[in-house]
Amino acid sequence: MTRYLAVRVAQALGVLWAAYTVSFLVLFALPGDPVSALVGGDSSDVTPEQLDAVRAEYGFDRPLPAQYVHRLGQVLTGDLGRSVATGRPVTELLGEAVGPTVQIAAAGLLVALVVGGGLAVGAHATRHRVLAGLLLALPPLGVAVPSFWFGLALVQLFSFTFPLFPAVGQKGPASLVLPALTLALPTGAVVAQVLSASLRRTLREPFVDTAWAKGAGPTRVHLGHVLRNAALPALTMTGLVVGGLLSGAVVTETVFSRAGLGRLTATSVGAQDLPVVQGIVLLAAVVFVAVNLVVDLVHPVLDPRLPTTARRAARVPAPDRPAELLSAAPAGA
Amino acid sequence: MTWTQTRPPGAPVAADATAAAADPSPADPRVPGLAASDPTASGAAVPGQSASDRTESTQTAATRARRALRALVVPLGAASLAPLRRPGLVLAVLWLVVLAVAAFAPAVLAPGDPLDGVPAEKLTGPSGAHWFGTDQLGRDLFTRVVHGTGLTLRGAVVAVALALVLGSLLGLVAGTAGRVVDDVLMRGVDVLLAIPSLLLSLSVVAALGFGTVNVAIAVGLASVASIARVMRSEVLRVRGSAYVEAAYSYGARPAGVLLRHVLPNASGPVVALAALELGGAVLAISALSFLGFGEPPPAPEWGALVAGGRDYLRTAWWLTTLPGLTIALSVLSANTLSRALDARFGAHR
Repeated sequence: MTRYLAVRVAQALGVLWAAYTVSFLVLFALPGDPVSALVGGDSSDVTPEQLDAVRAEYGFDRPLPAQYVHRLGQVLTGDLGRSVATGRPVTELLGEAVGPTVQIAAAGLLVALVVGGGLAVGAHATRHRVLAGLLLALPPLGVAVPSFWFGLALVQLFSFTFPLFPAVGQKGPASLVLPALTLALPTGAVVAQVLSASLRRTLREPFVDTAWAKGAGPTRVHLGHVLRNAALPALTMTGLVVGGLLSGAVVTETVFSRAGLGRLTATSVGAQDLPVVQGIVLLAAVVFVAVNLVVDLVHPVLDPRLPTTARRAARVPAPDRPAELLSAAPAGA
Repeated sequence: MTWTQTRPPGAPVAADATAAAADPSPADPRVPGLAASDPTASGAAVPGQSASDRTESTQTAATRARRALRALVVPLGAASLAPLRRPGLVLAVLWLVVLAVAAFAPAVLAPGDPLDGVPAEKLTGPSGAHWFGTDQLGRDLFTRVVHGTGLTLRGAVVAVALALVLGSLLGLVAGTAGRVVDDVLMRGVDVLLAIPSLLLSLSVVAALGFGTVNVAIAVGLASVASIARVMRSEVLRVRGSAYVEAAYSYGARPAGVLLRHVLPNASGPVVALAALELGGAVLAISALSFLGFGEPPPAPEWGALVAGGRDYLRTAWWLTTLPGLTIALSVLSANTLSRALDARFGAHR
């Protein structure tokens, strides 16, 4: 087990290093000039000398390999650089933004799990075929609806037509309701789809017949036996779901004018503030890797049939249906 | 176009066999039509042929009409999907056809100018004259949505094409070039999957700058990883099959085997995934243009239209609702088509 743990942690660190490299390549090696964007595009009141001075200050004038090594060293010591737009340290900006985003992400995840999970279980437990069909038709619909529009529709309905919840801001628990619902739509749809596929497979297993045969009631069979076993494979999707929440936060926080990581992402991309964007990408990768590490470590405990060899964990857990699920992730959009 | 016809002569009919096995009822009236329209499927459709003998004598005008309709739908790639039994799929394909018309010849659907407003008619609700109402400058929203189709859809097609080419290439190389290359490439793909795709797109936009083309490139790059992964697993599956071995044994060159045998047989699930990515790309592009990273304002990109209606939520519901509904229906249609393609050509593991 110790060896397994060591290998898994080493792999996680490897993924993080690679994520840093990818974000560096995307942000700093692709053509594009953060400095001229910073000083206001191609406006003429800035001399080329001033531009060069700014470039030198942020290290953009050095050759790419040197920048790569320099920034990697900084990142390793916990320094993500300074924002080009505000001059403040990136770690400070991220630290301020994490709290509010964790709030709506947690609320959104809760709603998504309850509604998405309930929908999947309900569709497979009901003997009413039309109802089951209707319930199963909802997740594809949820994936197709753009969440920015869903959020605006919620505001229209529950802030203006029926003034129940505030349309913007982040004061009090009432302001959390509409953003959480908006965030829960794409996430809940993915949860429902993953769980449905898993439930369908589990229901065909012999132990379900055994449970019925020994006289267990529907609640006991569906919640005690089927859901318990079906939820385990779905657990491997947690990393993608959490990543989807972060993507969703970009749109949700913009729609509801809330401060947080998503809003920081949107404004930093708008200002082409590359160090901040890189910080956010790294944070997302850390979260993804950490979640997957925890899932991988907890999984053999929950399911004793799984061997705890490093071979099995050699890859990021492959989703059951890569096609459907991986592309369900951009539905966070 | 019937996909089975692209199969090389040595290929087994496994794909058709699974399709026939998944067929809900062998006596389904669509099976004779399939056997008639697609000669290569005859090996698999044995139960269907006996059904064909039975129904031949009692063939009614209705079945003939159904066949004729099916012949019309064949070019849409929905040949064996029994269109009459799947109204959802028919509606989805029809909607996509309307979108294609709107993208390539917007003037057919909406002859007006999307940038031309009549200030006297500003913020009027949907009516016979203005189907989707008008915006704060008196511009006809229907005209703007129709003319925006091209921007959004072309971006999505560019994004998927980019992802398809890069992803297939990566998957093909990873699946054929040996262990070390495979490990390196797939570890890279895993890393791309570790970054949420919208965040990846946003980073590319931050580096490249704004505009439809850059947004399309960004969205395309973000979906390279999932395509590469499916392509690789398909190549690995096909590479081990007997007909590939047979091709090698009669002395075909590796490149020839790859192009003539492996690629066509591995591409089914990738095509189904590409259709799904198309829906995802429309969604991602609209989200990026909603956030303001697409074309600058007067351009009627779908996401930008929804964003433009944000300030009038209280008074003019149609400004956000109708473009939003258009996006949702388009994504839903692409996903429906993808699911049908996946059921027909997908990998059934």
